[in-house]
Parts: sequence; C-alpha cells; structure tokens
Amino acid sequence: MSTEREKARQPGTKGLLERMSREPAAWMAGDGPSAGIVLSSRVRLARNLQGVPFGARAKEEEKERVIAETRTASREAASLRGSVYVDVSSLSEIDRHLLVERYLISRDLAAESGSRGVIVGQDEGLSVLVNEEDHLRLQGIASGYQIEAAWRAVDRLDEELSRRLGYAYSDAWGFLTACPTNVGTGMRASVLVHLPALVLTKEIGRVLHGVSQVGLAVRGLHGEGSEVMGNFFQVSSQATLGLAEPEMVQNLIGVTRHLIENEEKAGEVLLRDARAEIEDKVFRSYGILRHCRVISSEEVMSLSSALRLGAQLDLVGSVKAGTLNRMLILTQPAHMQRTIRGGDGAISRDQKRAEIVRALLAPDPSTN
Amino acid sequence: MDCQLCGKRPASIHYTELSGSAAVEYHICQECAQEKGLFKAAGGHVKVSVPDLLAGMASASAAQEASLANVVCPACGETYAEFRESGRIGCGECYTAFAELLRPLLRRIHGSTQHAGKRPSDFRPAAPAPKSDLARLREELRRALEREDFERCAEIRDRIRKAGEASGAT
Repeated sequence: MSTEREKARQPGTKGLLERMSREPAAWMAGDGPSAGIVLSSRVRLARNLQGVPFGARAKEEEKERVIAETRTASREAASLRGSVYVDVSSLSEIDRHLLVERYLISRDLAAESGSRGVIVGQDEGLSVLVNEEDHLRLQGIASGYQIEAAWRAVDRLDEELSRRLGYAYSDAWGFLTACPTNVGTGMRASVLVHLPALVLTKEIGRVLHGVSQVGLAVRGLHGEGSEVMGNFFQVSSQATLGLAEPEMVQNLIGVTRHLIENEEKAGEVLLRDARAEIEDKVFRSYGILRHCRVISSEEVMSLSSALRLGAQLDLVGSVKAGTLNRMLILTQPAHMQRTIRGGDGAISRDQKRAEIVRALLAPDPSTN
Repeated sequence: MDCQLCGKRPASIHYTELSGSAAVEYHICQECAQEKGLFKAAGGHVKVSVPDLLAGMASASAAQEASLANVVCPACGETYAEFRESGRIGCGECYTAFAELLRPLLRRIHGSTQHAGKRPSDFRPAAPAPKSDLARLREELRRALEREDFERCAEIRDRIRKAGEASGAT
C-alpha cells in the first residue's frame, strides 16, 4: 500500500499541477466548431469492477486494489499514453479545487476521504476518476461542438480498459453502477453552452423548456451563490437504460444544433432591434476588463459573457473565444490561489486577477 | 419562466418525470428543490434523489414493505432498507438480490428496464443468449410501435419469431 503512496508523489503530479495553474487544457482552446456558443462537449462513462463492493461499501484495502488494477490497465491503454496519476487524497485543498475547476474531479470526490485519484491523459482530454461513488468514471472532453469526437475517444478508452479490467455487467441491465440513475450505459453526455442572446431576448425559458421535454436535463452554471452565472448552461443526457450510446449522442447533437441556431437567431434579432444597447453593453464590459485594477471572479464571469456575445456578433473582431476561455479558467479561485502562492505576497487575489485579465486583452501583450 | 412551487424565483431546474406512459413536467427553482428535498444539491451539483423517488413510488402495503426491508444482498450484506435510505447500491450482486424491487424504480427513472448499449469487450453471455436477445428485441419492438414505425415492427417481429425457433421456445 505504501508503495502506491510513493508512486503517487512521482514528479509527474507536481509538474502537472504547476502547468495547470498557468495554462488552460487543449480542450479550452476555443477552436472547435461553433466554439463561440458551445464551450465544450463531454461524455462520461460510469464503470465498476466485478467482485468489489461499490464506493460507499468498499473497504480501504479494496479501494487500494481498485487503484492498483486501474493504474496497471491504464499503463497498457494506448489512449492514456503519457498520462499522470494524481493521488487526490494526498493533495492540499487548493489543489483539489484546482482539479474541480479543470473538470477533472467532482466536488464530491474533492470533499470525500479515503484512497482516490484521477488518471489525467496527456492533454486533459481523457481522464479516469478512481473511487468516487463508482470505481471508475471515464471522461472524454473536446473543445466546442464535438460531442461525437468526445464519445469516440472515451469509447476507445473504455474498450482498452475493459480488455484488462473485469467490469460489473449484466446483459439485462448493462453496466452496474452505485446509483440506479446511471445503470445501463453508465453514460452522461453533456455540452456547456453560452446563450446570452436567448437570455436577453427572454426566449431562454421557452427554449430550455423544449430541451427538458425531450428527456435532457438543463442546469445553469452556478457560482458560489445560486444565481445562474455568465449565461452558461449545461445540457446533459439523462436516461441510461433502453437507448444505445450512439442514439443518445445523436439526441444531444440534435438538441445542441437547435440551441446554436436559436442563439444565433436571437443574436440577429438583438442586432436588428437594439444594436446601440447591445454595442454599449459589450463595449462597456470590454472597457472594464481592459482597464480594471481589482476584480472578483463573478465580475469576470459576467463581463466576459457580454464580451463573448460581442465576439459572437462580430462586434469586437480582435477578441477570440480561446482568449475568453483562458480568462474564465485561469481566473477561477483555486487557479488564482495557486498563482499567487508562488508570487508577491502583498498583492491581493482580486488585484492579481485584474492583472491577468488586462494582460489577456492587451492589444500587444508586451505593452500593458 | 417562474418556479411552479414558489411562483417567485425563476425556475432553473427543468425535468420530466415518467410514470408509465404519462410524463409530468416540473419547473422549479434551486431553493424550492432543496427545501422540498427533491434533489440533493452539493456545491451547485444537482442529483436526482433516489430515496425520494422510492418514497414517492406507490409501492406495497405496510406489511409487504416490512418484509422487503429485510431482503439482503448475499455478497455485500446491504439490505433493501439500507438501499432505500441511501439510494446507493452496495455492489454488483445487489442488482440480482433486489432485482424485483429495482425493476419498477428503473422503469420510472429511465422509462425502460433493458440495456440496449454496448457490452464489455470480453463479455461472454453465461446463460443461453436467446432469452436476453428476445427481451432486447421485444423492447425494440415496443419502441418501434411507440413511434409508429410499422415497417420496423414487422422486421423485428420476424426476428423474434426466428430467435424463438432457435431457442426451441414455442
């Protein structure tokens, strides 16, 4: 057991966390199709090993066994070449939150105790969460509107791992999971979408209502409060029994296309009916972000949403989706805390955040 | 859209509950969802609460309920009562031990009780496969009927007949 601990402290973890606090992952590059509206496409698969009790009932030594077997299998999986195993139980609270902000571990996994970790693929596009409520949560994440690509990558990883790990599976009920809401395919496919024009035109309720009617769940992206932040919504598949994975993926692709079209239409309406007001909103936000000296993460979230709308409507040609993604990711609380830890102690988090935001939006990064 | 419960705050949770063939829609705000215990929210992460779904299910009489509570999984020792309380299954074997009790719950959550997705790459059906193939085909038939795809129905019916002959069933 102790050797597992030692292995977890291999240099890979430190370097990985260090890089994360400075650089966004490849899937945040904002270069996928419709990346202005769809930030990311994600598919996760819940899996458990045969003959081992699930998360809540597993003893410590059983959890260690799950970790050891999974790590062995992952070393032979081509999709995980160059991956790093991060022992979450040995991380500081800040670093655990850093992984939450990267979408690599859940808040539940960050808060729990006991042996648990995450295998992080080379560019963070693939990862395997070990010992959450299920033994394994495989995740594939892609930039922009690429649900199919995310599914194909995680499906391949699943094939590779299932050749080496005996999954708990029944032909009637599929992959067996700790929560009956996941049994079957164990799949949840989701997209993170930015829908400011639909919110401004007050069409959002109608559109989201339609989404919920076809069996998909929608939730606002919440900050520390309960208010929906930055006009971001997560749309995800729900049912895991009775439908094959490709059918579910197609459902989500279709619904997301519908959302993109509606958001674009709403954007056109805004430009036609309220161009001056929209331009004013966009450029005021741009101005504050360009020149702020102290700024909270909530304010970055809301102002960058307006700026993202401006970029989407071609009002601010020089601002790219990738820059805005970078801003969102790197100015989150745990990212900030890690950045500051290494630097000048006199500067507050909100000051440092303002510095990063200004640097990202400077016409020439050398002059700010 | 306003929350259906308080009528004040905007609804941020939209879901459809399936019971049999009827679908009931809910549009509620996070606060009411938490208050009513419909969902368990942890740091903004919303989950369907299985215990509440279970409690809401029109199930057995009190006496039957008491006898069900003692059903225990031989592999991990979880009782049905514990599952009802936590909403979490103890191990893979629990699915066999609680099969009859889980079926209505799964139908309510997913609208189906038959897996139609991929299998593990090393999966070898242990029992004679035709039965589960039949179940799979019947499920497919039901879905085709629902969407009134009659051409597909005829096709599946032929395959069911063939599968029946192959397994020696009449």
